[in-house]
Amino acid sequence: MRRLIFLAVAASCLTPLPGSTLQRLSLNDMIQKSTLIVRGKVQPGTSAALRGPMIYTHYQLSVTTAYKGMPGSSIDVAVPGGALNGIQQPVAGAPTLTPGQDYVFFLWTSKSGLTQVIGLSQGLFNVTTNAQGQAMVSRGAASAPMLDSSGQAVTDTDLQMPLAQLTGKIQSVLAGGVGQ
Amino acid sequence: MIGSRVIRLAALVAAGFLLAKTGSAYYYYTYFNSSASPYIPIVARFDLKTLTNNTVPFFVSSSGPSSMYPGDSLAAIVSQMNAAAAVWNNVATSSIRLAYGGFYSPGTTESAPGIQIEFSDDIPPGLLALSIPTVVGGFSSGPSGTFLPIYLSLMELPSDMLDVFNGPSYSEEFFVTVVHEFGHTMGLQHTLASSVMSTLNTSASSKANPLGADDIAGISLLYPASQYLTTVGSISGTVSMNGTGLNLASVVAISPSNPAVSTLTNPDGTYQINGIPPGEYYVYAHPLPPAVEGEGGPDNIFLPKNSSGNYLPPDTGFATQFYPGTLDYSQAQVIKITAGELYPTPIDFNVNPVSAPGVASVRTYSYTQGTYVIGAPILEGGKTTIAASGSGLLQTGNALAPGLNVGMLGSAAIINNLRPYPPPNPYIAVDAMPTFGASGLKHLLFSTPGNLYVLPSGFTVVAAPPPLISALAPAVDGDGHPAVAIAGQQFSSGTRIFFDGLPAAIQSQKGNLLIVTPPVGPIGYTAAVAAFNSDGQSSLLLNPTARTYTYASGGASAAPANPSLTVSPSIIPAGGAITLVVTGVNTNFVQGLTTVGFGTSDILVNQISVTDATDLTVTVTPNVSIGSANITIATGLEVISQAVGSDITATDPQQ
Repeated sequence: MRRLIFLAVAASCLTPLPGSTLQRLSLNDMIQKSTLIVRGKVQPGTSAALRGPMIYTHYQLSVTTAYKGMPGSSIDVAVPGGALNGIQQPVAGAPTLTPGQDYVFFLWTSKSGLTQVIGLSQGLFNVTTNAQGQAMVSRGAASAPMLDSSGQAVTDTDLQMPLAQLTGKIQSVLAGGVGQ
Repeated sequence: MIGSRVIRLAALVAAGFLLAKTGSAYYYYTYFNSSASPYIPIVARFDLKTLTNNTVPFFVSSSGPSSMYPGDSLAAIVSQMNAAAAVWNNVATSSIRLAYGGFYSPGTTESAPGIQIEFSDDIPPGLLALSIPTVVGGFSSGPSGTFLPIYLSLMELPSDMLDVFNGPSYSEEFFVTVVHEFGHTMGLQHTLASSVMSTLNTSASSKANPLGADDIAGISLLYPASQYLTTVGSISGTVSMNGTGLNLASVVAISPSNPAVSTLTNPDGTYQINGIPPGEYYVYAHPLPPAVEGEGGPDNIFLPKNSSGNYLPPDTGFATQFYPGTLDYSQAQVIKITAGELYPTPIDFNVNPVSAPGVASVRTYSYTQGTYVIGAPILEGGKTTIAASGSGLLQTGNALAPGLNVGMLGSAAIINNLRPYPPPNPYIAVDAMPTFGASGLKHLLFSTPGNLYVLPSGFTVVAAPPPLISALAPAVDGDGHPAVAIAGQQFSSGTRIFFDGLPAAIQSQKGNLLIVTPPVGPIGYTAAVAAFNSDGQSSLLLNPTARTYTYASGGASAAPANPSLTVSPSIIPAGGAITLVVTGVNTNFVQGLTTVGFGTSDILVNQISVTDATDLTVTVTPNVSIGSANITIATGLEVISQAVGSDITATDPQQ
């Protein structure tokens, strides 16, 4: 009993400090390794749950389009880190999801049923509309920038493109093409 | 006991604000007890006073991975983890040590400091590993200042190792990853010195030579051994732009003949690089690189927090600068570092703004014998291609970034013939022609108009190609004992041979023929055999698939198969220290080599006494009540684990 009490007291002031080893995924990798690729919006409100020693923050997605897999109209997506019962677990590199924001998600469901964004933040793309009314996707985290002929930074075309181009690439890769 | 601990923690939180010393943020997990200058960094680390022999036990999940490469095993993985721990244990200037404490059952909780290594099904693709050092309560104080005690660290590795890693547990990738993650569990963050604590984007670490000078300084400053601080020197100063101090600017001491040692600035731009070996250095300041795919921020550094609980983001919009105020290292001032002293003059930087990030996050490879090799070893006296990938090297269409030039710090090699690879390869290449006698780590310079990127340890000049193992065969040593003969190429007097993660004893060497005694292994066990040279090269660089050796009956170091244990008493009773008698069947216990663990920091192993190959006693002290535990006994590559009793209880000393 004393042990349980001690652990409860200790848990009330735990603060994990994560570090990680990332492996860069290409868009083709993400298309192939994802179990679900969907477009959707994040619903307001989150919940947190302890899974072993780690906290996950759970978001509910309303799916508007599925590009890979057959999800229901709503998906529970877990993001590592969060807050629960006074325990704080902020995880560097974990995505922050904004309620109401339109996203394309590259999701991966573990054998035990936990669905996460693939590669921490790598599988999360914002959907926006440009001045011409065209739906565009872009990755939230900055990528390795490239320079144009004048020495100005430009965005990697893999990371910002028309939504139609992304969906075309997804279809091509899933059909066995190279997705260029 | 519980009450006293809570009271102690509360007292330390209050005391922490009173006792903190001024120091550098370095690259630890850092907190500040104020929201304005002067900033006093407080870092997270294990409290050595709570450890036995300054040793943190690490426990490995008994569930093991769900899938492994053919021939791989949990015993082989544990041996590599032991080897990775030994890398940190071999830092003589650090006082912390890691020790394998056996297998634990998933869900085991700990009430004493430790590290749990779990194979998780929940690690998504794109992530090789995740480590979470967890601090408990408030600040504590020690000889080197106020700190946040790490309570329990968790290292999560993918359960599906076959799918995630590019090779088995003996691979360069797995080993360097585990060394890196152990660094996180002890309190080290990412660095930009191309060392093992760098991210994979820039790491030049190899299995043969994993730690850089920056890693050694980092762990030694966090857990300094006696007299360490008298053997190294320090540099301090400020990094500012337009009169404002910059947060998390990276400041690096480096020279053509010395590897990089670095730190990060405090929120007000102040810094102090400690742990610099005596010698002559240049000093430069540069911004953290832009986040690359999957990173939540620059270099995926967990940002420092101030006393208001706010994260303090880095200032990155400036150009690299050598001291004093130049992009040309040849115009930089040489700073002479003396042991035990702080350089008397502040090394201050007033950096210039830039509108776009320049070259960053570069990783280099040498193209040797048709293979791209990380760490870029190149032969002295020859010409070798170095390929580099990273941000800002190319413009669209794989043309070189405008004005890009590649050179090196010092004159040990001629660097020329800069060219891009044809699309779609996002690489550039140069030719490097080092002079004879120029062996060692060399630093590359990537210059663009108005900016500069320095890549410490961008390539390594070596005197010979990597070692190669061409054949293994049973043999006898000079005393007529069974041994293994290993034939190969490029063996030197410093060549080490490993069977999985354990070293073999070299009995004799005649050129490229070694006679070795392998570590103990059970009959039928197959170990991967690799050679490592002191120049950082291994037989795995050009041949990632290792030669193997299978322990056979009557062969060298072969232990009987199917070992088992009887432990008496089978239930560890309440009370203080108790001696357990372990009787083995088909075991091969060896005094000084056999280790015993119970998978939890709550059972302290006091003493192991081996009577003979099948008998030993182990004296333990349970810290708290425990429902059940496993006993794990390891001798060489033989790992035996089984449940031992239940209702392990001890008297609470506070009762």
